[in-house]
Amino acid sequence: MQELVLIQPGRTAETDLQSGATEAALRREFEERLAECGPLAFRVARSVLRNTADAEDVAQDAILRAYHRFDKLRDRGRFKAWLVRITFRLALDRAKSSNRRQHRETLWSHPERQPALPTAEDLAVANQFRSRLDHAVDKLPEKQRLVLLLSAIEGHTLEEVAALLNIPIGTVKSRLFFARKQLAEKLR
Amino acid sequence: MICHHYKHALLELAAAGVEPSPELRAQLQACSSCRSAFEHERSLLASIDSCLRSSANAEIPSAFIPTVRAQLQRESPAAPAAHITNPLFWLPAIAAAAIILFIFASQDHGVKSQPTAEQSATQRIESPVAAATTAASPSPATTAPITAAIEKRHASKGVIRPDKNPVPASSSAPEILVPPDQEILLARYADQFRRHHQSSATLLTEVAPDQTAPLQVPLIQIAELDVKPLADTQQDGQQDDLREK
Repeated sequence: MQELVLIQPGRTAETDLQSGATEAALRREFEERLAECGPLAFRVARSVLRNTADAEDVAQDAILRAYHRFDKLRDRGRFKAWLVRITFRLALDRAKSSNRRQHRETLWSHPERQPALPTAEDLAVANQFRSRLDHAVDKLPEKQRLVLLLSAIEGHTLEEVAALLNIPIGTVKSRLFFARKQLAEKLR
Repeated sequence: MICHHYKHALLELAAAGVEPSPELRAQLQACSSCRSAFEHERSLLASIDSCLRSSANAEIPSAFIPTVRAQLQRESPAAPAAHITNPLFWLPAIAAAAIILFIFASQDHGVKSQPTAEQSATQRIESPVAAATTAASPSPATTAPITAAIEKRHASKGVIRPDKNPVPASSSAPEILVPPDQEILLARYADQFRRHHQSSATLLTEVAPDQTAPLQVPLIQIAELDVKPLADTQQDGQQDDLREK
């Protein structure tokens, strides 16, 4: 059988060099942004998952995804917001899947029992108020939850949150107000 | 207990975290239960905020950024996800596409092996050149079933769709798309073209190249001229002249 080779007629060593240089520049630019936005991505993931190992995994995954699509991002100034959204979405997905897995494992191991009581370690780490708060935060609508978390992370002001999410400051205020109000109602 | 009239406004005030209006401020000064409920709400919200802040600003693991940097070194910026480049990822899709193509091809073959009268008529319509080259009988009533089929289809669908009854792929005859209102005219033209073509074809077959012989022209036969002697005519002329004088 005749062997066929796929070639690109316009491709030369020069174009290879150019693409290599572009790739290197892109990587350099991304790494500069990573130093600024990496911790924020981790904290967003940590706020949603409340687990450092999972948060590391999710933040790393989000950063890699952003890296692979970095050349398609037209407005590089929006990188931080973009990364925050990717991380938040991935963290929510991870939280949902881990909840489902936990539920399945509980049913499998103890089909007739109620959800397991917190362990001694859990009790030592988190008090009742915190666990109730976490539960209440999990029940918030996603948009309100993201605004609440971003306003709590790194002391962001309302203006910074608005700029980060590219929404009007009035929207940030109203989302934050309704989120706090719902939390207070559940914890009162 | 908090006054019912101000309850909603005071709780919203605490959640909003803004300064109270003069009316609410007067109420808070006047009513101790309202004041204590308002303070309780504010302390609850403050503890919520502090709790959120403490969990949200967790310490970044020292290995986090170096690990990510190391992973970035291994990856290409615009590289697609690994599973897309994996040939096994596309294998089910390719297999499904092949099965679908096979099913369509077998159905198409089954339809072509048993063509209906309407389909054969439509194929004749679609390509008058192809129709002319076929060895169909030059019946003058050929247009009748064609126009009947067209009119039937006009009644049912309204629009001719050549891709429903395609000419076989092996055929080199071109397909022609015509507006629906010119379909019957084209059918008539196709029939006339076919008849004309076949009559010319019969002429061509009569004068086959191997049957031609050298042209035999008969010899020219010229009748003999009847030449009268000139002397008689000259004497006659002289006698006429004398009579005139």
